Amino acid sequence: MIRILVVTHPYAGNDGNINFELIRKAYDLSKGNSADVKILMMEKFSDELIQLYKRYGGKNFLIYEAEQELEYICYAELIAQVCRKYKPNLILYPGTELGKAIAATIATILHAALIADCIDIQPLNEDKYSFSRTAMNDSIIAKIRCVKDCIQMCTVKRNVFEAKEVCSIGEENIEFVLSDKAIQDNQVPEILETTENIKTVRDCQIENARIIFGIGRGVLKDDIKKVEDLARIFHAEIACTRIIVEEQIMDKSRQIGQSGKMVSPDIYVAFGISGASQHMVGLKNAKKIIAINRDKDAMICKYADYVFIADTHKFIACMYSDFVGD
Amino acid sequence: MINIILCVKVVLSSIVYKNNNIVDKYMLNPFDLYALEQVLEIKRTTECKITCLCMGKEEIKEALVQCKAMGADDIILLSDKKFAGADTYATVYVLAQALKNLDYDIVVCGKQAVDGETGQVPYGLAARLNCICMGAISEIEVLEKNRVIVTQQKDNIKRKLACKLPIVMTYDDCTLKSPTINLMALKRAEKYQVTILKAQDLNLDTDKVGQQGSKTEVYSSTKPEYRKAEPILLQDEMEEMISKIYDILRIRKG
Ligand SMILES: Cc1cc2nc3c(=O)[nH]c(=O)nc-3n(C[C@H](O)[C@H](O)[C@H](O)COP(=O)(O)OP(=O)(O)OC[C@H]3O[C@@H](n4cnc5c(N)ncnc54)[C@H](O)[C@@H]3O)c2cc1C
Repeated sequence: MIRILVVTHPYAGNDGNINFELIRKAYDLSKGNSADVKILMMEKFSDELIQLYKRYGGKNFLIYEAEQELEYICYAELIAQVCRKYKPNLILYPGTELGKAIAATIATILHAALIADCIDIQPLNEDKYSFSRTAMNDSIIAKIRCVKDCIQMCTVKRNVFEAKEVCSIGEENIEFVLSDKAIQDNQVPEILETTENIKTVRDCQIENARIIFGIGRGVLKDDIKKVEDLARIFHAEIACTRIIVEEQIMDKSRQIGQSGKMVSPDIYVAFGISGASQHMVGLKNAKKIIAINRDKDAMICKYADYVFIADTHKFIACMYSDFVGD
Repeated sequence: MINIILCVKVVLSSIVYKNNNIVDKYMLNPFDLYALEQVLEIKRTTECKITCLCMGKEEIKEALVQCKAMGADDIILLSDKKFAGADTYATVYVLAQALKNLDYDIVVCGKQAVDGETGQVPYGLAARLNCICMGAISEIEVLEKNRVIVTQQKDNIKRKLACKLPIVMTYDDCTLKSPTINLMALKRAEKYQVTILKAQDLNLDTDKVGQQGSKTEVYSSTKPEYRKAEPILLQDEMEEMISKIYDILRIRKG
């Protein structure tokens, strides 16, 4: 029998959705070959959470009652022990920083195959799966398979699989697991200080903004002030590309993209932005993209819903005189 | 003397700079370049030796000379046909075997490579070297022979941590700016001989390296579809464009 292990992100809080997505995906995968799916939870027992996970297809739960969040290495040790006992064929990890750290560690400890940031998982034959991920800055989708006789593991990108509820699933099975080796914390770092950056109203809030005006190299320095004024009128937030940050024109907290923030506005207006893949990954969840660019062949036109071929200086001047004056 | 080993990767410049005129075929992975700049900064105040460790083809040697010119003390290139086609698992094995032959107090890596983007190598390395990996480090505050104090920034939480050495650590950022390199330093660096190590120089099980040692294989690749529909394209008529954008933004002029 095929065995699938789902490692949930402990104390997920706001990241909770990724756990639903994983559990639902494992449920779907088990339909074809009636695989045995176990959901591993590494946090304090909570019936509420189990009932929630059941809605997405979780039935068999393994629980390791950790009183608090642990370092990744402690989780990795525990999972290695669980694997030695349950011998899963496939393990799904959340694509969170923690999930990735744990998965990469286990891959080495257990000599397992690991595919990072999967966007699709399909059965290949009885016990092998095919994993898809994007590579080369999202310019290709690679299909990857495991070529050795070993555990297959993957971390799963967030917001890729749909967290749909399943029909009623019946009585759950709960099994508590203990760590046979006391999880050692001799390696674990000593925390000297913790500070939570509490956001104030004045801080940049581009993550939650409904409308964002994005500024790229195609905007004159002198026009940025105007776009800022317009943004206030349109209740929009201002964001930018990496180039604008590296030239110290705007603060890093406003950068969208691979090395910046992920945003999900209803409307993104891109002023003079070429649409490099590293910028566009941050906009995957933008509902509508409007590009103002003088180049019809700019990459951004491939992503945009509206393309306005124009000079940003003139375009901004027109908007400015309509709302602010000349 | 504190020994810092910096694991670096050399990548195709065309991956980093899409349309620009590319002078050199290869360049340092921008995440590793950032890490190098950070440790060079530490070297100004802390006595330490920086060794760059890289796995790749021999032809990338030139790109590595830049590390020397910037101020790294030594460069080791692990290069062998047998290493080709390695996935993360096999890459980690080779790097770890090389590290076991070196003196190291701290192993520093960039966050990820621009051409692989898995970010798994540092954690795999730590597991093979039997130590922990601290990710997302924004700063090393104190570096001593047996201990390091670092700042780690994850989501909204900033922690100051003290770790016993050795550890593996990764920085949290990259840089796209070409470093300013002193011409004299570059001249001197060009005379420097990069140490090249082959499979036979490392204590390796050759079944575990390269494609042969990999657990995974890419068996097909396709171009993703960007869109569902053609965009609405407007040009020339500024007025039309402007009123359209107000429409979309649901705002009335004046
Ligand atoms: C590892 C790595 C990580 C990266 N991370 C990020 C990231 O997180 N975020 C990010 O944004 N980038 C990132 N980048 C950089 C990215 O590759 C691009 O270089 C960057 O996004 C380009 O910024 P831009 O669009 O402002 O500039 P450009 O690419 O220079 O584009 C300017 C655009 O403006 C148009 N234009 C110029 N003048 C005018 C005018 N007068 N009127 C109208 N249009 C005009 C041009 O046609 C062009 O399309 C990263 C790169 C790497 C290698």
